[in-house]
Amino acid sequence: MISDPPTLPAVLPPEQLRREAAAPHHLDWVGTDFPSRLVARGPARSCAAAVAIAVSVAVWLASLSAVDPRRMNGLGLVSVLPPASFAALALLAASFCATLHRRSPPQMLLLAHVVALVVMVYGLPALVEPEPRFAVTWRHVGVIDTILQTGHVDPRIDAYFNWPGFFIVAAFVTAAGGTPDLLTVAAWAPVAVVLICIAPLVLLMRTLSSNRRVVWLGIWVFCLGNWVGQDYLSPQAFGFFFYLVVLAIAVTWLRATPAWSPPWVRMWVVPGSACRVWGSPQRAALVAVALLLFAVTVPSHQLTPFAILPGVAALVLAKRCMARGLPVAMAVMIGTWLSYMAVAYLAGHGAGLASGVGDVGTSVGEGVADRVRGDPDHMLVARVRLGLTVALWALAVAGFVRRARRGHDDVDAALLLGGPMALPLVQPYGGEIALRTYLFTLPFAALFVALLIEGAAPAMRAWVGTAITLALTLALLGPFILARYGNERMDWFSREEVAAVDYVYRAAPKGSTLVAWAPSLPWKSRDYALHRYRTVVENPEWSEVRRSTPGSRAQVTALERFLRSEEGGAWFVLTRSQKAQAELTGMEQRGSLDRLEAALRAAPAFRLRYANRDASVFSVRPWPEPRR
Amino acid sequence: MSGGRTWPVVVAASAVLAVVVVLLGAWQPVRAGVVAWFALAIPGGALIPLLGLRDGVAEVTLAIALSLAIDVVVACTMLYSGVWSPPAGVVVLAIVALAGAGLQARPNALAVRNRRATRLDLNAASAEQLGAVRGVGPATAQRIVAWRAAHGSFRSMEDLARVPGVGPKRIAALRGRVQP
Repeated sequence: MISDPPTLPAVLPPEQLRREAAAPHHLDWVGTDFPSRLVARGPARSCAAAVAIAVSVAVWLASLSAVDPRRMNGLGLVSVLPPASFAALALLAASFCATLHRRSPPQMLLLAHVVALVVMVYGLPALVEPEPRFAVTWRHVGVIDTILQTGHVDPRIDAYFNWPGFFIVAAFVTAAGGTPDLLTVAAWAPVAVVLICIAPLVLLMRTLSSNRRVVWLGIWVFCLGNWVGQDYLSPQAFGFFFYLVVLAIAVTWLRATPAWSPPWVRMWVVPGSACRVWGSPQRAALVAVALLLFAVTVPSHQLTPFAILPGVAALVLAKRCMARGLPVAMAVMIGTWLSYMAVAYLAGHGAGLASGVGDVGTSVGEGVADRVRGDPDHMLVARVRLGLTVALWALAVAGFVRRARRGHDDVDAALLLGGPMALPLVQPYGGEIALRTYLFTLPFAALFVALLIEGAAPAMRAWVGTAITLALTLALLGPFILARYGNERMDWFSREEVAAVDYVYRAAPKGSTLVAWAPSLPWKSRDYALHRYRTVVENPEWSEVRRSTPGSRAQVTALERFLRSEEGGAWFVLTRSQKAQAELTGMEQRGSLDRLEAALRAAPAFRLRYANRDASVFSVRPWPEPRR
Repeated sequence: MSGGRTWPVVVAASAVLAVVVVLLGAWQPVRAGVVAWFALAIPGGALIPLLGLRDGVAEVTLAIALSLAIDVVVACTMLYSGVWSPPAGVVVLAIVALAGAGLQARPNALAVRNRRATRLDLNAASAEQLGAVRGVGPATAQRIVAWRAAHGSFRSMEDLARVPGVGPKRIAALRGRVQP
């Protein structure tokens, strides 16, 4: 267990005891009995920090009023943020770092800084964009809507309906709440998800380190490292919360007396020192809660159970967790769900357990390693993502090594950091597995980064500590916003694009085939199961359309032929976001979809049904009759 | 959360309010807000304090997690058994919440036993464990452990007064949380 500073000075080397006796101020960095001079200054500093938070939030909101998402280039939101926005973030960061290094950092004030950071940075798209971002968000709203409309779940529709726990509970709460507009909820979901995750993060970090500064710096780094954007209205965001809570239960209350420890730790540990005395009914109840939480993640998300299992199994194998039956029970639950409930999906998809969900077009989709091509700005974003990921992991390893050399027992956190690394072995999950693995390791990587800075040098002077943490924050902040919102040009949607999709839903008869070029458009939020949805780029049989010269007669003819072969009449939707996606990710040459659009408008076989400045909707002869 | 007298009342009131709002209808934003709060905090918040954890962060975390888990269980049970009725689901959740609130108001044997059991042994606890006790910071914890190393074991709570920086007030606050 991480102890900070090292536990049990009885067996500490005598020179260290002398050093601590000679410098008592090392000890009371968070003590309650500090000189009265500081008591008098405390409230003034707290007020200053509160004012700094208020000012940074106000400046942030004011600076965003002029932001126009249409001006974005391939670097995403970072390219349209005015300097005042960055000044607001820098002020908040400076205030946090100074508060963190007060003698007795007030935890509520640190929490207020973290909440402000989350609202500002994770709420940024909701503040500057007119509609919820990510095509997949709209799709999830559509799945919830389908359950609301039908009141049952048909596992033959697609993978979502084989792991529907999250969608069912969302439909339940939505219906009970009088069906509020789910799209508004979806726009603010990232803020809500991260705020809720702060609670288990505090619990985890507080168990793994007794140093309050490490706890709060760890959470701060987590918020600045979480660029993968898996916190939208989604099963994985839901699952991630349960992931944190189950692991927190395991390390906080189900800890065994370390029977095995690395040799450098064993020297310091006195047998019987783990003595939080727990009544067995209480422990049994906590095991039951952990099992229930796990049981709920199994039908909610394919991947999360496979992330929890290796972490808990590693703790048990290292004899750090006393609930030895826990991993076995978890494995049985996964097996049961796969063999009974998800069998409809598995029958069609074989070993590729999750291939259908969340690869193409998912959020920040094509992620860390693959597909570094396309627009030069986009390639820069991809490299920054890779760099940020590698840098945080490297700092975490450095933190672990430095702590280990000083004799700290960080085995629990190291096991939990390493556990999710087993994910790529057990779950083939499209190209996204690196992203997901990074997210699952991030809390523990952030903890080790915090330990590297705070845990190794308890005697650091306040201004040195402030300077180091501020430097780290500022170094993370820019790359974080660039990485998180780097694809924004294709991830955001304008009102006009939504209006075009709305038109299609009003006009297209049930059973029509709705076709787009690329998957980034705000569709599927209703009539999810009533239409067929196809995209040109995801459809290998239609590759002829992509191979032809953009805007040529051959391309138009090929597209016409494929669309006409669809039953129920085909509607073709072309939007700004699809063009952005095609250009950014290098699917198509710049301007090729504009040429196609112009050619379709001129082609006699196509009829333009709806158009605005961001979107065009075509149908192909014989004209399907509109619903009205 | 645990030990407080107002929390069971909040739980019971939230449950009743949620049922009223869902069954009788209410202005939609109010209804959505009440149901969101109820679904997120109340079923778990009714049960978790029974564990007697005496730790605010832990109780908040587990209350949210358990609430969501119970929501999922109720929703999935309704859906897969073919009786999809969100108002009925809210009533079931409210019954769970009211039962928990009732048990909280009359602390059962489990919680009482645990309160005694969770006292930390002053003579065996590590600095890290002492530091986690409310009223003891890491600095004081270090000093307690250092005193123990230098002078042997604590024989009574009053021995704590001999640790630099620990006064009678602090000792009074620590009674019930640690024992010699």
